[in-house]
Amino acid sequence: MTIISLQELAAFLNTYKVSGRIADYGGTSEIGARIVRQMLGFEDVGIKEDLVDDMWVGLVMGSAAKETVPTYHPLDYNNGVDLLLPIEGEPYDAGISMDLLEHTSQPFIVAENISNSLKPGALLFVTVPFVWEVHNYPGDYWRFTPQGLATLFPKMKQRASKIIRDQSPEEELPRTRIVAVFQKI
Amino acid sequence: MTNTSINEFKNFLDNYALGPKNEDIDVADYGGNEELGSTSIKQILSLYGINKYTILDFSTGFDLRNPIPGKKFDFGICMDLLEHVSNPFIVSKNIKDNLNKGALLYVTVPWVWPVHGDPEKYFDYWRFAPDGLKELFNDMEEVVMYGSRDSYVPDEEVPKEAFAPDPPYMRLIGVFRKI
Repeated sequence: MTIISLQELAAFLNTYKVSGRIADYGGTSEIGARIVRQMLGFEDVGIKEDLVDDMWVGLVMGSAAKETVPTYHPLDYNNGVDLLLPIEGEPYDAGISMDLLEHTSQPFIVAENISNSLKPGALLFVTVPFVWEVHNYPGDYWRFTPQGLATLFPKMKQRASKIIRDQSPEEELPRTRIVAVFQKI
Repeated sequence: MTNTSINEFKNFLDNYALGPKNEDIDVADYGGNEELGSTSIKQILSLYGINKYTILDFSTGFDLRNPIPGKKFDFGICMDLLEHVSNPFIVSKNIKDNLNKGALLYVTVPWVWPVHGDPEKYFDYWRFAPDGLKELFNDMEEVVMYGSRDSYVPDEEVPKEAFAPDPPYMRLIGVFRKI
């Protein structure tokens, strides 16, 4: 998760105003999950990068606290959910899947499980890398073009899709990621 | 197909024995296309005494999404195909099933490459990291896998919608053996 991907999430939340139960598929990094959870609590949310004592900190800002805050449900190995299996429980009102799908050996299965765990009409915010160095070895399998990402979600309608450059350390590839919004039919 | 990919293929043929006698080897080129470089592949193979060469592709009436009918092959080539199939798990299985036991399969896929394709014929869906290519052929023996920087530089500026990084572009080359 990078500052740019969190800014894209903020833009998604401001545009679509999701509510209810929000699933964060692969929501695993403690810092990332905390920031996402905070973002859900504000109207017109934004995020700013800052350095405090040489540590990167993402500062969440919003115009006002929401009256009804969506509930946040991280679904990941770390909290006992195997996304290769059907996701149990009540379907979710919206979903977030940030930089998850490149790390699964079976992206078609995981994408189907994600689709099936959402209510009809639910929105799904997805980010995946298109150009990015291999990371988290072992377990970094794929990169996706916009067409590839759409192919993983045949039960969903694509509402938006774009490719953006991300910040790249000098010695690494020029990082590029896809940001897309799908809606369960 | 680029100059680099053709040179890489020659290097492969120089370094790996495909069988006891090259003239007996039956070669399948999965996704080969006469208009997209297969003539060069055929010529290179003939320099090594390999003349039994079959293209299995839409252009020759084969749909690789279905099990491939007919004979099985002693050596398979699959160059820059898998990024263009909507389900690479199905196509890789059909390719594997179409090879004889012990056969080598030479696979190239892009790793960093602009989005390309012909919207009327085929799309461009995926890029593959080493873990991904291994996953697609996980029931074959991995013989070798390496990256290759391509000397290809587009003649014209790549359109914005191709989302290209700056060259050099990169490919992944994998060699697998049917067990």
